[in-house]
Amino acid sequence: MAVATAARTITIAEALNESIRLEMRADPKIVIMGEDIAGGAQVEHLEDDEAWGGVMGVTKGLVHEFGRERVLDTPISEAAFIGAAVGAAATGLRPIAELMFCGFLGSCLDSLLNQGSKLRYMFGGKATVPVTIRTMIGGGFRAAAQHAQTLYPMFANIPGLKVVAPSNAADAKGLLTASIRDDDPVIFCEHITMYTLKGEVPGGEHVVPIGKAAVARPGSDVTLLGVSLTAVHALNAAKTLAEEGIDAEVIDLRTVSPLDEETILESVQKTGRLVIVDEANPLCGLASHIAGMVASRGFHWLRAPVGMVTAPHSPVPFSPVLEDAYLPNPKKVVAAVKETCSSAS
Amino acid sequence: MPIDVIMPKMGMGMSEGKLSRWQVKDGDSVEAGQVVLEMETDKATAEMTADVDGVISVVVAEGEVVDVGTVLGRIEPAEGAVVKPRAPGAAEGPSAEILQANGIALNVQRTGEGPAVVFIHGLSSSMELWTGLDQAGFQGRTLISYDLRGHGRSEQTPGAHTLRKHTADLVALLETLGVEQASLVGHSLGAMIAVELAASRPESVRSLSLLSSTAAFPQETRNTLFELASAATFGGMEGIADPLIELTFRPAFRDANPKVVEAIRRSILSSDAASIVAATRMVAKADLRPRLGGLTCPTQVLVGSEDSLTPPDLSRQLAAAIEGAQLHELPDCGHAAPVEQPAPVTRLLAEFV
Repeated sequence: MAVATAARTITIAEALNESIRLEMRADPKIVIMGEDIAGGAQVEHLEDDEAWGGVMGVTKGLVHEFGRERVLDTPISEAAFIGAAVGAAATGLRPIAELMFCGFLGSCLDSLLNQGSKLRYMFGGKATVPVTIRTMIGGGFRAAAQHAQTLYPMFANIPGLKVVAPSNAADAKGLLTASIRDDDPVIFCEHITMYTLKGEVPGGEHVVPIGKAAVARPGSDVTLLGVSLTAVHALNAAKTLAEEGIDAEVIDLRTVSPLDEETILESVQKTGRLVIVDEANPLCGLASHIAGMVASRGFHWLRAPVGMVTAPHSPVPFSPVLEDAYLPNPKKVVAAVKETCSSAS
Repeated sequence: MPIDVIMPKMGMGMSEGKLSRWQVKDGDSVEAGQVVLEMETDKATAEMTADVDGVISVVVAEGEVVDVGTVLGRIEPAEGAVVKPRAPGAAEGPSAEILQANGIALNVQRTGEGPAVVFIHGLSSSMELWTGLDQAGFQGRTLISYDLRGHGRSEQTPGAHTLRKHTADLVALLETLGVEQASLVGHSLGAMIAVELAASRPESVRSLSLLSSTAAFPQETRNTLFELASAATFGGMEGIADPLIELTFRPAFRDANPKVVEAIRRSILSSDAASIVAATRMVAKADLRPRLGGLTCPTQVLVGSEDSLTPPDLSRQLAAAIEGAQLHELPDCGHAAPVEQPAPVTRLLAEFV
């Protein structure tokens, strides 16, 4: 009778929806909460309305299957509902909260910085906080500086939080499933421009472990490292480079924290060259951290300075022309690789 | 703009038809509702009427056999003529009409004289489900079939589907048609609507015939239905047409009747995804078990022995829960009993309603 057991090509949004649905079926302790994630907000005259399913429609239909007791529309107060999610996790539920834009972290930071990330440590492992915060990252949506940020370095800087950012539909499903099942708080970053990106996704249960990077394309001349959309940029750049005789290995980081240092170092040992692509701001960012880690642990393998393609250290511009100039793209990656490969070794 | 007269699709199995006779000549003036041609299939003959006042031109000659959807003639509308509303791409069955009921437009077909029998189709289907039944078996009855909201040529409505809304549609339709009491024949989802109406307005229902149905789906089937709804939410009807057909028809029927299955696939693909999603979720959640004990009218339950969507066990439970209900199991029959076994279905219904 089960229909969805074979792999098929679906969007990232549908893959996320499927992960949540299958996990909610398996575990009655899972509740989901956020702004308009059900739709209708329990207002009587909207009771019959088709569910809105969150600002990007990821949770569409779940309220019909699981009811309003497990699919909770919240007030527009991130401090309230992220606090509620962390508290519910600490007291026995397994909540998934949708923090619409990661910039809204500003409204609810205490729950994550001082409560959710600390409880297990401070109570000697006797408390767990199995909450998943789904949140949007990234620019390219013409949504201006407050709604286009890439803040995974800020989340990753807080010990006790895990930070995940998939680049394709299969990983979106598998990593979200792993995040929901994880007993620590996980910040699950979804790139705002990628929801309609399609890919082949296994049906049924599919888990991709947190903390394990993927070699998305094997190569021998240079290592390109990206995460979320920048992993896609790296793959596209690698195609262009292949036409020009440069064989790039692409590492899709998939998890920002904990960082899979071994996969990165193994690749650098093989290629001797590293270009990191990161949409976050550069100061104390992901690219600079990985460059530092490689300099510290793998300096003797490097045949050229580490290349970095990042956003500049400024807010995301609203002007479409400036936003395009601001963001990393495959062309910038190709240029950085050529510079790295032309360095004397 | 000229209005096409097209070869109608009069049954799920119909792929072609013969234009037997023109009743008008090329260049004649015709009036809306006037019979313009006669056509026939291997099962039936029918007259086709003009949709609009105007001047007709003949495209296909008498005696030719053409595919469903072929343009037989064209009517150039007269100045100010009003065209009968028609859903885009939908073929017209004989004597179907659009009626306003419960605030929406419902596509309704009515034939015969006598006590009313109302046929209610199932999920992602239409009144065409019933066209294989032999109308001659129902002498002395008024036969009424209609397209559920969001299905066939009936209106597509925004928002959730509920059994309450579907039942209110049927109540309003019966009022519009002046029917005080009817025998209800429901297939699958249609049977759920019939049970809901019989439970909430017993005075309106003379008897219940519940085909290929259940009072509530088991959890595994509910999961499957929710998965189909989700797939259509994100990917439209393309992703669910094949699964729906696989759930509805057993492999032996699919292999033996590829043209029928292809016609149904096209019909499913042309459905409004939002309506089908909403109706699928309603079916998945429906639980009429608390209603069954209160049913008082004569009831018969029919099920195909090889129905995998609503297996015979569900019909056995359904019949056991309704006082005095008869149970009939049809051999060599899947979920779409009126399509797969029209002759025994006609006989069992005609004896009962």
